[in-house]
Amino acid sequence: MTGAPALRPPGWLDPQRIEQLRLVETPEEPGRFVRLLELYLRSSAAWFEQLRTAATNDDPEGVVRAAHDLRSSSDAVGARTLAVLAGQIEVQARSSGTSPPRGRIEALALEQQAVAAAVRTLIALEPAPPPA
Amino acid sequence: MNFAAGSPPSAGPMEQSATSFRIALVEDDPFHAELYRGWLENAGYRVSVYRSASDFRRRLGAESVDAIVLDWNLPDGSGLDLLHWLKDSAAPSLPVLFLTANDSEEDVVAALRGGAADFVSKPARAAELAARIESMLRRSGREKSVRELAAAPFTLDARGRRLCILGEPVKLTEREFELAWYLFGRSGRIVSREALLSEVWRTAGDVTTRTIDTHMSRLRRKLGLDGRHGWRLAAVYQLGYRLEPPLAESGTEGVEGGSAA
Repeated sequence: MTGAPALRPPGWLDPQRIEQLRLVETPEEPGRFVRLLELYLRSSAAWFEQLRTAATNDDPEGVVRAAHDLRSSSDAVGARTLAVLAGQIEVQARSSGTSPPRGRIEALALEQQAVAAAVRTLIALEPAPPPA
Repeated sequence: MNFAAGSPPSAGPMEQSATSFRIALVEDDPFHAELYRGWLENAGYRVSVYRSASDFRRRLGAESVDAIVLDWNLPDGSGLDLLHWLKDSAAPSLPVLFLTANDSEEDVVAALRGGAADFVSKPARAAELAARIESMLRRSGREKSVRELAAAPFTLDARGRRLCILGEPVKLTEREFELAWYLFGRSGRIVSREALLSEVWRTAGDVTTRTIDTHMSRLRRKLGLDGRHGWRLAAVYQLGYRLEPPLAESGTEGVEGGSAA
């Protein structure tokens, strides 16, 4: 990938990143790609909840940790808008030592739900692996 | 390399030999751990995943690895602290690649000055990561182009991790195979215990020379290296060990790995 990444509409997954994720597949162990996406769904939901809880409890360090993980993995699946939003929250919490305003968390929630829906659609479109 | 259709270019010369390398992947996030494990296995590497700094410290002495891929943020410490521990004492010669979303210039500089061989920012790309690991292994002198050894009646296949006597496979542990591969590759030469610790155990810590002696004894028994197949695994007083070929092909008498045991 070259150049600065363009922001995509909510829920849109960068196809180039998705192609990278497909490279975990092997003929010997089919279905790894789908399992990876399912792992992302579980992880990103958990990180978002950790972030929201940390923000509610005014725990900026907890916000930084959860936002960092959410940013990093969302970037890996090509959810660039979600990664950017999480990254902004991470930077803000780290530099100011305060939790993000509620509006930012709500914007993140909407984006996270849209990305999750896109990932579930992607999983549904994948052909089932042949029986073992 | 086993990439899917439309995949990036192959990994190059290491393609045929990467299977003999084990990569320690220190990554606490299950998603990233699975992603990189999949990529690296498809590139032909064997991968051990460690989910924390303490997990890695505890298991390093017991498992042979050729290189380390290290995340920065770990649940019980920073990857940078782990890097310092490795370089200061535990395994100074093991090449380390940082793979992290902490990609500020300050972080990159700290990692490289701390002894990391390379630094890759997340999100990574599969072929680039494999190529960087290949390059790192090559620079560290760990490139292994030989994948098979024939030393009648023994044959060793690094790709399949298999040792056979007259075509019959012998059941060996991972460590025993590593040890056999190392010895047969240096038959006729004395190898010191320090060299074995460094090159087979790949650590300077938590392994006693008694452990080496125990492994040698077991290998001698399993492979019949007492002369019954013509080969002898001999202890050389104060120096180490020598795998002696059937017909006085004495090889080099120098001590592999420097100082005496």
